[in-house]
Amino acid sequence: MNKALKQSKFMQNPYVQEIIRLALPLLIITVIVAGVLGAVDAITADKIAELAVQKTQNAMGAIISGAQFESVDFTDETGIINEVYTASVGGQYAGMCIRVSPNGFSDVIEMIVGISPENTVLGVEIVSSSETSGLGSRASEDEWRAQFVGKTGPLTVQKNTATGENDIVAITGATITSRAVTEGVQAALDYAAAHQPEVSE
Amino acid sequence: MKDIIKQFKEGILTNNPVFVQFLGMCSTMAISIKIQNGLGMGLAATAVLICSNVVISLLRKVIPAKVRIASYIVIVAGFVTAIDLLMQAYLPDLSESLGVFIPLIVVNCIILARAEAFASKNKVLPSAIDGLAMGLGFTFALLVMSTIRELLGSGTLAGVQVMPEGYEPVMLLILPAGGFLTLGFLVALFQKIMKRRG
Repeated sequence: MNKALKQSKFMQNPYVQEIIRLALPLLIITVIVAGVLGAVDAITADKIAELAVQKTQNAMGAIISGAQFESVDFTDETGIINEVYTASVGGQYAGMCIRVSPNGFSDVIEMIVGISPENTVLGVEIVSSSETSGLGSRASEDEWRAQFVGKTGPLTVQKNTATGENDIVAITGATITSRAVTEGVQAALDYAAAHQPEVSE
Repeated sequence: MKDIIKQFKEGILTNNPVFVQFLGMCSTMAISIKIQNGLGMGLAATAVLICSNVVISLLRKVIPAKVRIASYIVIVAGFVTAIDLLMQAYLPDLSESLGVFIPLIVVNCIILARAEAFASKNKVLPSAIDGLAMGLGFTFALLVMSTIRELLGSGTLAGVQVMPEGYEPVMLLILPAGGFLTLGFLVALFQKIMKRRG
């Protein structure tokens, strides 16, 4: 700091001195923490992104095994479709995988829906969700997700027992989560029904 | 040595962060539903607590008193975020199961309270031990609560079915209201035992 400033009336003011005495250490701490975080982020960002891609690939592989997935451009009217992939097994078109994120009870549910070339559900995988542990989190259980397989829609959520062909039985105590997942599957079904002919070639 | 034993006794029993100090209530309610969650959260918080106590104890003469809380929050949040990112990148499985709780640690008032009540006034080693003792006390409280809530609320222990087939799980216990009830009964029990032992 130059001498003139140091001796100026402004810097001699005790209030100003007090503020600087307090703010300077805080500023230094903040800058150091920010620097450390920046460094950690720089080291880990690529690795984290890579793992996220891997996770999506694994989930799609669990739905259509042995397939090659290719990301395709899409237009989304529902606002919950994030990514669309076409699947091919040995060069043969085998359906599509659609990553959707409907709003659950506490946050969006990231999930992947596989649709067959005949517009039926091949499988549903939950990639990540922060639903209530023990209630909404049960949407990740195989048994519950299995009821979507083979359905063509339009899907309806029932509270106790399934009566119709396209009924989904809600998880007890987690109707909102059940509706959200169903909404996601329905969005994928609708999208596939509208766009499957153009991408399957 | 005597001091160290006293610190552990305080952290786990006589000054237990949950049952006596009533700290960290939000995370206690939110996660004490399953034993794995309780254990994971307890250990993650212990790690952060030790780190933050050490750093704050080191900086106790540098940080001006009037801005100490702001400084502590920046340091704790920095630690938690860095640990979160590192876990996501290098321990993805662990991060998967603890992911939801890591950000909760930032707002866990046990960490801020120990920084304020202990680390800012004591040397580095006792501060580290305080972090460990309080962290273990928190883990212990979470384990007791999650054992009760998981057993009665889901009929399982650590994910394994232990209740007989016909047992109808008490859903109330895995909801927030059940958390408050469990905590209330446990605090009463804890106080009773403490009083008897003088």
